[in-house]
Amino acid sequence: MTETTQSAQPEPFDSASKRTAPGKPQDGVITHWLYGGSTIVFLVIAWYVAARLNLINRTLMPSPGEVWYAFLDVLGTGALVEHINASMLRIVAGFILGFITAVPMGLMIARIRLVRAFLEPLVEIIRPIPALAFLPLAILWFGIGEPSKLFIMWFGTFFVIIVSVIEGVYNFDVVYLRVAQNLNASEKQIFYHVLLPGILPFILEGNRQAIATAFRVVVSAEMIAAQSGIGFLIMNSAIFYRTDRVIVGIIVLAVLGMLCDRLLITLTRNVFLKYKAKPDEIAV
Amino acid sequence: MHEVIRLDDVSHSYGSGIDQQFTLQDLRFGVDKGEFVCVLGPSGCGKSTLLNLLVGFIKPTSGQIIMATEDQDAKDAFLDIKVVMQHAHLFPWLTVHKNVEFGLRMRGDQKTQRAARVSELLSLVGLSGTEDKYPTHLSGGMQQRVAIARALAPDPSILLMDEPFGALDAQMRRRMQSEIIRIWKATGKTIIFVTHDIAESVLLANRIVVLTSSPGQVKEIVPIDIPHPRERDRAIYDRVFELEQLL
Repeated sequence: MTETTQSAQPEPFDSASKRTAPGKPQDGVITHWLYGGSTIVFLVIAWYVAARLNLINRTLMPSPGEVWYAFLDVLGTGALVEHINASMLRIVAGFILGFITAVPMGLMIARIRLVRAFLEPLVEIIRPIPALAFLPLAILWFGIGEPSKLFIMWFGTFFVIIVSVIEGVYNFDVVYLRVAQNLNASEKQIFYHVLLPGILPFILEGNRQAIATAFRVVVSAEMIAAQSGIGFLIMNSAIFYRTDRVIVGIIVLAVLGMLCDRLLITLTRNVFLKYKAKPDEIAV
Repeated sequence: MHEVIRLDDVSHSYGSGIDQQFTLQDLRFGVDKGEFVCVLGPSGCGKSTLLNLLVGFIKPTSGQIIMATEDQDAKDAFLDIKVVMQHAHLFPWLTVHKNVEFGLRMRGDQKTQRAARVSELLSLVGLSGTEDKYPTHLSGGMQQRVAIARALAPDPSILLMDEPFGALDAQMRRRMQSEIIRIWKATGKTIIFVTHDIAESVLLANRIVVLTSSPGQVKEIVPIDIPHPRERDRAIYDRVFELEQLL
């Protein structure tokens, strides 16, 4: 067949294009890593040279070598793995709790007029409050242990996910619902077979943002009230002027955050490929 | 020949009293079984309102739509009309196969039965072998064929098409126009085809219901007695010219 492509060229719906603003020129993967990586290498070299020439106060800013040995130290004692585990556990637990509460709630707000009327303004009012603002109160309510942290982790993820669910439903083309109704689908079938899969890309994108939010919240919470976690490691090290360990903590956070994001993108890639094909994949 | 659907003074309006705005006013026409009827009108003639009325998404303000189906239950009667939208609106998360069988699955047909029907329809629309593709991986014309197969799958009495080729380029539109005539001949379905393209309506229809705009009223019903399949020849262009004078 020699059919020509009718629809406007769909944009590739992969991670790179999703993170960039529309209209930003797309660079190749190699360019991305090569150029981006060389900036980081340059900064590390500059940092090393500055430390070697004693241009910086070594107490406030250790050299890359010192940071490396601090890393090997906390890795060797097993402390680092323990802190990573503690933080990741809080992130995952908070995210799961947020997800299983926010998705049904979001669907009800978006779909049921009465629920929307009562709850949507409330969501709008509470949503901008930083989760951390609730930490002192949560400690009074639930004690200094894990439940108070879990509460604010839930708070942080819940509102990100619920907004993505509501936006997903509001942006979903109603013509799909009508087509499904016309094709014999009952209300219940429309919900499970059309609406839920239809808003899946929104929910997955919301999940990504929720994980990013969880990272921010967990570190702050651990700095204020915890005896474990990367946030605790950073804060506790700073108290003892162990800036080398502080920097280890910060770099670990950067790497963990990136890995989590990459993992989510990889897990959900196939879903997004269905919803939007790359131009060269369209049959003609 | 008997009528499968009849509109009896169907009106649709918004507001009431002095603010009442008619989108459609006193539509009165019937469609015979196996007929190809084009509804032709400029934008703003209430074509989409008419479409929503015919599939039961909205109710007429006055008048009634009478369907001649064996099943007289009102809800089921509307389900006897299947619709093909201007943009195919295939479910992007389902493969071509699963899109086509959607209506059958929703009403609870057996899997083997569904599979047989899907392959029959995909061969009818000339898309055998695309079963496992996802809709976004198909061109616009192919997507629209899948949409036609999906609408035909539950074996409706009437196929309602809302400017189905409006989003395609000129070359593809011509191909799809001859395709739909072929499918119409092969299935013997009644087709109601909404368009604003005069040439398209003359090329396809047994009868053209010409609507005026704001409010949409039937201006004239024009029979086209040229046998199918039609070529784009002098006879067609004469009729197009006549209709242009009328509009």
